[in-house]
Amino acid sequence: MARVKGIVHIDEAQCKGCELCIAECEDQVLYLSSHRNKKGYLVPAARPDLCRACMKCELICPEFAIQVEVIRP
Amino acid sequence: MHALGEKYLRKSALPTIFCPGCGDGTVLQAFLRAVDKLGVRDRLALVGGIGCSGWIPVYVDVDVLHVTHGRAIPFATGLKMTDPSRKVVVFTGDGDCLGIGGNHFIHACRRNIDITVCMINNQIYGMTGGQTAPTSPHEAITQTAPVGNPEWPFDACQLAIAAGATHVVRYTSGHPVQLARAFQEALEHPGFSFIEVMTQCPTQTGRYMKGGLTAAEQLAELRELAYVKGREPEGEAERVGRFPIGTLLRTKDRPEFTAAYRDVVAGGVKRG
Amino acid sequence: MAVNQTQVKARVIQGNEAMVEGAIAAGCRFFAGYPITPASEIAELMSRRMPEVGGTFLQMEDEIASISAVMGAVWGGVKACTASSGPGISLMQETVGWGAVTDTPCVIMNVMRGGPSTGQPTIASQQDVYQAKYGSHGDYEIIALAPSSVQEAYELTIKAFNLAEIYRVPVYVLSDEVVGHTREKVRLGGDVEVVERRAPDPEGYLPFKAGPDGLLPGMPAFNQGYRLLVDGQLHGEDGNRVGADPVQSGRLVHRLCHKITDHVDEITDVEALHTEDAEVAIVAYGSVARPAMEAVMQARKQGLKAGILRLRVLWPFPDQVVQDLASRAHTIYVPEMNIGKICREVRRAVDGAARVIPVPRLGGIMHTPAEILQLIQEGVRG
Repeated sequence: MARVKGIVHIDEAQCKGCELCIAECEDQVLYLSSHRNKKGYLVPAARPDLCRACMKCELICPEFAIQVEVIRP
Repeated sequence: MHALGEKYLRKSALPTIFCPGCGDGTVLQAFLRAVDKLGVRDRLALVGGIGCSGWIPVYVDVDVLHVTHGRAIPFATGLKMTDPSRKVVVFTGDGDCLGIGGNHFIHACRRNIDITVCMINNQIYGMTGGQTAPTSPHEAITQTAPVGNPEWPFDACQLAIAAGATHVVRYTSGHPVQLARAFQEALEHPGFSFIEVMTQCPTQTGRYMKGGLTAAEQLAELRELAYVKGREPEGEAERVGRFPIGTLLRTKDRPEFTAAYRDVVAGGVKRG
Repeated sequence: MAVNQTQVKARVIQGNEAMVEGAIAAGCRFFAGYPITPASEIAELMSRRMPEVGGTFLQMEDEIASISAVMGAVWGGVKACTASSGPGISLMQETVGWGAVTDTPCVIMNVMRGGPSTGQPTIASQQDVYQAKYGSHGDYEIIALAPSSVQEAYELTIKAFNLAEIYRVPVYVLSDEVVGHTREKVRLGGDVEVVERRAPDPEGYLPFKAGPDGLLPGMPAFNQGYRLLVDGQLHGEDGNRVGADPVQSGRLVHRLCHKITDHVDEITDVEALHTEDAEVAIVAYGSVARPAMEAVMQARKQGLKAGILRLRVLWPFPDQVVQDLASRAHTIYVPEMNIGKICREVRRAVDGAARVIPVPRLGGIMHTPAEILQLIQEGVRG
């Protein structure tokens, strides 16, 4: 059965590296990258193809830095 | 930036003052989802008190008052009475609302005035560096209780219900979906709506009271301490530090104040 | 400025009632207050009159809630006021500061009573004149008016609302228990000049950007599309916080003070009686100005060159007018029902050009015309 998938868009300029999104994600899609944004925060990155668009990362982000693009089959 | 942010945030005020991991931003997002769903942007009148949570309205690109400590509710009362069709929402903290603002909180509940008060509860005075709040647990370590808080907290939701509020909700900042729905219901509820959000505060509560928990750890702990209303844990000991979440009260059986004012006062006098 | 023409009604009422009618004539449509002697009649009458004119009356849980609700109502789009006395005015001070820093037009009626603290609730005093000017923390300016009669309680309350509207500032009406509770004949109505609230042009509107005269154009309201940020923190022209920037911060404080001090000449309102050739003069305000005026008139009947400057606007202090007086009169008496406060302003303005003699009265004792006449006689003798 085809599943709903998601693409996690991260706006690193908004991110404060709080890692709440990483903690929320149940599918190990998000991980803390070794890349620092302009403010000096380590920002999250998304492993491709694992996301099933549960939206939890987007909903928890306090800085409007994450938007999940929902790909319907 | 998230499309909701692009649409509603006051860009000139960014970046937010919220610490990394603060729950205030999550609550802001949930609020904007409700505003967007209802399409009430142009009717909004937001009031923020003093404290981190009081900044939440500042970031929304609508009409906003950022007022004195503890007095957001009476300012909001003036805004509401001069145009009852406004959607007046107050963002306040546990110190702002229950400490210095306690009296105004009680009377707004008593009046059942149609405003929404969202109280972000991090159990501490955060902005000023982590002092004891009326909601700090007994024996908690804070900046003004270095060997433990000798006082006890009280329950804002129970206080609201006792004082006459007709819509009382509590969640944690780890319940964004439920919060968005609660905001939507509050904006539509004809009466005083109180939404308490138990929120992680990695910088103050997390450090002093919790021995250095990260935001995610503190949020996980809050979710653990929460229990759904109706599913109280058995035994006094099991309930220590725990709190019910959900819609604790929602009723229309009390008259709302602006309507009662029209009927009783404005309708009862001769025009001259 | 619009002129509302209504039929003149002559009535015998107390000063407190006259202030209510003045507020209504000026367009006030929101009152929030709390009971306190000797101002409670204002709230009681407002509770009847506000609904009659389509306004709103709220009795709030305390004075802080009252002044806060007033400010909320102003940004909600209506002219609003509150009324109290010493202890309540003290409570309101933080919020007055918020109103000052946010350019919020509103009127605060203080029916002054004996202080300090609980003091003498039913007795008049003039002890709170400095509190009106300096009561809140920080650098800011307000305007304060001091009615001497019931007629003036009516007229100066209208003026207070007009000044609040022009200068976008909290304005005090400093009445006292005597003016507040004395009943006199008053003429209400007639041609009443009212400064109507003016909505600013939304095109490119910066809410806190002053015009070349240092004043803000008009007064916006919520839910009219302005998307205002009204913040008690020091802010820039768009309302956003600038506290970390000393230049912008200083600029705001400068504007808030200079919008009043640069316009002292336009705001000044004094009544001068027989001052053109006065050798001895009185500077007085409020209810004390009544016996002072009587004394001056009796002095003139006796051929003494006495005059009186009656201050209707107390703040900003009319330095220029007082200096002019000191260039003619060699002795100036300042009778007050306090420890001696406005006399210090007179002395400051006079700057040695004349003798300034304070005439304080404590405990609620009001000067009699005979006492003041005696002082004039002494002053003339030198």
